[in-house]
Amino acid sequence: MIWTALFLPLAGFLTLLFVPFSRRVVNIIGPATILASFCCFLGITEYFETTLYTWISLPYLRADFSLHFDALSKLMTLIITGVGFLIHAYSAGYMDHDKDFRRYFCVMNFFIFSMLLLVLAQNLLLLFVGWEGVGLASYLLIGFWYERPAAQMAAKKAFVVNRIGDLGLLLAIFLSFILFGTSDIAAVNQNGQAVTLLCLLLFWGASGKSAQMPLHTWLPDAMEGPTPVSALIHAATMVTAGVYLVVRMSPLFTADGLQVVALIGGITALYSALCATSQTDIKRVLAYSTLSQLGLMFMACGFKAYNAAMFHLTMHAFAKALLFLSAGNVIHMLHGVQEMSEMGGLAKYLKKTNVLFLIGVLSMGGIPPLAIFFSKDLILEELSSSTPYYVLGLTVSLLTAYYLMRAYSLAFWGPTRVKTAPEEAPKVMILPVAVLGVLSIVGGMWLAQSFGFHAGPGMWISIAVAIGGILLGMAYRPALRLFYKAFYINELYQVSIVGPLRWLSSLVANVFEPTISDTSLEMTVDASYKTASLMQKMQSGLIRSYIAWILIGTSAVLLYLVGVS
Amino acid sequence: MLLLFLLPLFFALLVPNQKAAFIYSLAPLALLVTGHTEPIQVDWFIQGAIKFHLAADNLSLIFLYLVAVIVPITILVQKDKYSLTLLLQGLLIGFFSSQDLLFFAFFFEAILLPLFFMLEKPYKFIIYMVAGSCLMVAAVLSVLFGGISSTVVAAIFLLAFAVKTPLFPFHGWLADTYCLAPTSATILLSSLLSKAGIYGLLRISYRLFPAEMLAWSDLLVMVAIGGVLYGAFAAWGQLDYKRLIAYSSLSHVNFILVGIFAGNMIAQQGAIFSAINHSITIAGLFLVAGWLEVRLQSTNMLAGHGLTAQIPRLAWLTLFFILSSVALPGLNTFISEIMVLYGLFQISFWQTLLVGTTVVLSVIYMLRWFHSLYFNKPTGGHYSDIQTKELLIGSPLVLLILWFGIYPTAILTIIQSIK
Amino acid sequence: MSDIFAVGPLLILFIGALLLLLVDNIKAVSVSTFGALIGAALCAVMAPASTSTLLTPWLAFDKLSLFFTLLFLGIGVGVHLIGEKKAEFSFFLLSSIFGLILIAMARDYLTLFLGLETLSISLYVLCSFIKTSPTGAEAAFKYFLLGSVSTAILLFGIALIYGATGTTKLIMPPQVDSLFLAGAGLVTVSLLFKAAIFPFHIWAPDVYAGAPISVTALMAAGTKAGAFAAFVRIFMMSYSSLDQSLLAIAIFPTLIFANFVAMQQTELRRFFAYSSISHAGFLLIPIASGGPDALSSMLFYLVVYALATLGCFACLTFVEPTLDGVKGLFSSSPVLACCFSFCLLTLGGIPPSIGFFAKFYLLKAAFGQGYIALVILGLLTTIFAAFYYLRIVAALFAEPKTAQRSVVGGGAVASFIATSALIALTIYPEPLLTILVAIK
Repeated sequence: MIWTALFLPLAGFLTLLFVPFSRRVVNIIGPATILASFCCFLGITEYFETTLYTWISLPYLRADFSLHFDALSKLMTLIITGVGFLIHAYSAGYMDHDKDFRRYFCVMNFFIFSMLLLVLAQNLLLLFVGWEGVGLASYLLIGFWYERPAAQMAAKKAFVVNRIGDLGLLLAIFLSFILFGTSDIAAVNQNGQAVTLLCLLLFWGASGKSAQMPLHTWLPDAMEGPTPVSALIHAATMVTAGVYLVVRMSPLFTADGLQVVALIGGITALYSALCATSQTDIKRVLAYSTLSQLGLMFMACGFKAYNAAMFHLTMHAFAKALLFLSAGNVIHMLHGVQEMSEMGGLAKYLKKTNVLFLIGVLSMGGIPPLAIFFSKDLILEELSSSTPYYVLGLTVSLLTAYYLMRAYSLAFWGPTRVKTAPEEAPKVMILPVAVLGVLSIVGGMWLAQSFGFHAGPGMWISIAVAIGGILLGMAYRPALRLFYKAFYINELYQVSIVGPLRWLSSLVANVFEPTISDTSLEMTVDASYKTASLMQKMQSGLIRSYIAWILIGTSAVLLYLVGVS
Repeated sequence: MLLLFLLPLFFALLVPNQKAAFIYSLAPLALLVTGHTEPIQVDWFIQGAIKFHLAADNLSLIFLYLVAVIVPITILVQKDKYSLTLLLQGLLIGFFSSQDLLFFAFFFEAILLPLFFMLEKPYKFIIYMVAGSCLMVAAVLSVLFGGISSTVVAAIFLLAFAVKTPLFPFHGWLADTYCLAPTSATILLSSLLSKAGIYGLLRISYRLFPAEMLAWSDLLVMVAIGGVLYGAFAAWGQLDYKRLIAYSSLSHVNFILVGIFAGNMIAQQGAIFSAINHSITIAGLFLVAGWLEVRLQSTNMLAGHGLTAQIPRLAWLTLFFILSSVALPGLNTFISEIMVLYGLFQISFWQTLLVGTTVVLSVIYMLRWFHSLYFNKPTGGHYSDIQTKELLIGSPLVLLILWFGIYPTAILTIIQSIK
Repeated sequence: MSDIFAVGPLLILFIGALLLLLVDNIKAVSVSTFGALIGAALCAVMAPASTSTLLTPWLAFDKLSLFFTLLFLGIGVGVHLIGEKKAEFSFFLLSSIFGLILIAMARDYLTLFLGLETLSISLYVLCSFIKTSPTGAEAAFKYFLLGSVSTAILLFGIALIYGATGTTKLIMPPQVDSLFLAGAGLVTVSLLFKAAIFPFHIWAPDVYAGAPISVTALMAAGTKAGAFAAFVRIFMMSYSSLDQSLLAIAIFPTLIFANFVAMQQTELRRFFAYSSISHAGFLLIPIASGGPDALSSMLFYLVVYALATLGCFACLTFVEPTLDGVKGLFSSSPVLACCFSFCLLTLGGIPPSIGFFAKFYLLKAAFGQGYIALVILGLLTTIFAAFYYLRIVAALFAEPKTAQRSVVGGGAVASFIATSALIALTIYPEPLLTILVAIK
């Protein structure tokens, strides 16, 4: 059963790749495989491990194609396929004008397959396959509209930065083999003494995928892709792979390692929250928001609050997907407008989307009894043992509520700056969002018990902060250039890393290479020709010189023989 | 074995046309698959001091299969001079199965001859190669006589192989030769000729002079790592995509050498597997580059933009080979790459990290090529996509890449049984 | 009676040459020449060694003579196929072969001198055979003048040796004094002249370039082989205890000079002159180094060299002998171009030709005797030389510049035979080697 669930999306990918179905059929096949997969996962009730075949048979780098299913796996797979299905269904509407719909659903299915492989893998090598697979899918989908220069550059950036992270994970896998002789996750976790180097390498890998600093620059640019892609990959699933990895490998983390995780998570959370306050593109606000929430999740991990992290991951998946898809509605019905300066007063045109977006804002902001309130408060409670982090967490919460409300009010309230009055989105784009809306409302209450939420005094502080943020967001909205430009970090990378490396490559290609391959050879050839010409002069054509040479030679011979002996 | 060696030579004499040549070139594959690899040994010169001895152990077998598969594909994209390719096939078979030192050197030089005729401006190539070959002869002489210290002899052998592979910094002939040659010649050069040097290192340097090679291991690994990075940076800075692939090949071949020079069993097994994978992948890359060149009439990366809309199939195929080149898991090169890296990891964490950057660099320069031509706003021009025929030519490579990536047990077993 | 058989080859050639002066039409000339050569060969093979005291002081009847006799007769056949089918031509051809065989069989300096002179004078005439060619006349004249100088030196040397040892026999004197050494030195000089070793090679480029192609072939293959036959007789057989380091010293400038200057040549006869100078340098290596394998390796190299040279020159008769003239030969006569290429590759010592193995064998013998510097130089010059040999081969397969003549006639046959022989050797050299090693 689990194999069916895993391979259905792969089958979907292959079918859509090779068979040119019509739009209607593709719109059905794409989401259908994911739905079927979801149902299969829902139906699995026991926890187990199973192997398909031996993939790498080397004794020193052994890896089987094996899956491991436990509570964590179930949670992840249901999120992936559940939210995935909703987004696939939504895409049928979003991509209705696009002629490349087949390629879209093809790669989306491939993505789901890779992501499932990632969370189900029993050993780290197989996980790595899924890990890079989602990276590939992300690349293909960010650059889906490849004819746009900005899109293809963003796609390239994403792939490259991801790869930097992948190097870390690869080294971690090697270390695992050296220390424990295996990369089997269960074995490593039981066996392993916590090793600082190992967990740092793992976290390095996780940072690449989950866009933590300093490998975060690709995520805001990734918004060049279609909005459903942003919702699925860059909010709900792929970016959470890093969190999953840390949670999954938690027994390996030493105290030092956890400190690093918490620190980086915290810095990222604060940094991106600040950036989000001044963005003008609605998707970028959401992107930075995602970064910020991921930072929160990692902070939780840093405090060993893995339950809290996963809780927040789940709630965030619902709420962020909701926000992205609602934004998608706006963008689609406004025919591609993403700048909030060209929106405004949409509440009266997009009534349903308005409500849905608002639900998302309130939930993400942390207003009870909406979903995120529960998960965020759980995290804050876990953070309360350390004052700096607690204050940090509260600040981030405040900012979150603030910038989301700001975005909402810029887009939906106030005077209309739109050119033509938009219509509400079609049903196929409202229904999935509505489902997410419901989940964003009741999700917290529904799952609070399972994740260990309990009400405490800190709860009121959280609520106060949330309401405060919302109110601020309604009122005051300047944009600071520093935040807008994300603290100029992109430019900093360009100047300090990319620039010099490019210069180096140009040096090698245009200076060293011609010298080595051409000049040295030319010099040798020239020298040879010159020598030959010199020697040729001996052949003067005059008999007297020839006789002279003979006599010289003879004398030399005689001298040598008589002299030497 | 004799049949395996002689048949291509015989067919070369018949001067066949393309169809016939293609069928003839499949003969070695047929023979290999049906197991006609019994050794042959005949006294040949100086009353038995030199024997004509061909045999195929597992190490040779792998490379023989490589020859048997790549040559037919090359013939299908070749325009003329098919007998030269068949001649080369025979000589390569002789080379990879030679068990006598002199014949090894003989074939080592002989392979250059057909290639000389297939290249357009071969002089740079020939000078480097003949230099390497003469070094080989000197080294062989020294072995047969034992007068010179083994360190010097080992060094000479190493130099000879270094020029052929090529190890940085003996790569001066590489870029021009690869670019100015027709696609078929480039495939033969990058896919097969470079393996001659690698095979030589494994067969001779490490079997006959293990102590010396071990002593130099640190230095050689650093040089090879330098080559990996140098090739990557050179590739990044190119404007001509055929040169880009050439430098990428330099980078990958030096990566293979890192594995060989690291000296431990894991790294060397990884290197052998890497060598095979590299041959397959680079053949694929030059195939698609050749087809692209036919359409663009140029090898400049700025010659066109947004081509995907017009030639989607070629774009997908190119992307597939690029992914193989950057070692995407699930494809062949991933496994060989982690074997080499893991082998190096046993020796030094920092060196592994340094070489590991190739994981990032390879993506940078490959995608630079891909995006420059296939993405971005389309500029005019009318291009026709590749047809079924081209897809069929590329499919054996695609299948091998997938097979070795997803189910590598078969090939891994063979590799593990070497040494 | 058996003694007459023993000198049969010489007699047949002698009589044949004289008879030719009587004959006139081409067919008869051809038949007679062939007859003489083949007959002489058969005789040489079948005849027993003579023990007559009249002959043995002057002539050696051993395996070495047999080998050289057959070699020279073979060269003669080849040159005849290439050359003019005129009576006078064949006369001088047979005379030169006669001289060559005398050299190879020499046991005494006088025999040696006789053979050398017969060879030289025939060649002087042959060089100017084409009466209308000014370069031919110049070549003949230069060869004559310089050859006379060389003869004078030779005679002087023989005289000194006679003075030192009291005999002209080719045997080692009991004590070696400076008089003897001086004489030996002068004799060496004249042989070096014939073999065209630096700095006595100086006549070769001009003479080779001026003479008719068949005559150049004879000089390149025959004279060279003859000079080395003399070297073998003198230095390997007789004076084997003498210090050969002088020869080794001469090899260095020869190889370097010849290979560098050859690079610039576009006139192919001149090019082959330099190439043969280079090969002479290589052939001198075993003589200089000595050792158990020296003789067989040198003889093997000589055979390969002679075949390849004949093959090359045979092909040259059909084209204008310049680099441009041979361009595109492949398109008009592919078989000829392939033969030419194979012969060129053999000369260059490039695998997979037998030339590679011949060079290897020779260098191995030298290496074994400790002459490492020579070996390294040999290898380096081979690398260098590969370039210009391959340049010619490449030109053969390039686009044609001028219209080619059709290829028929004896030259083609000669070329084909030479190439086939080389290919046969490439595949299975063992039989020839066994024979050569047995010569001691």
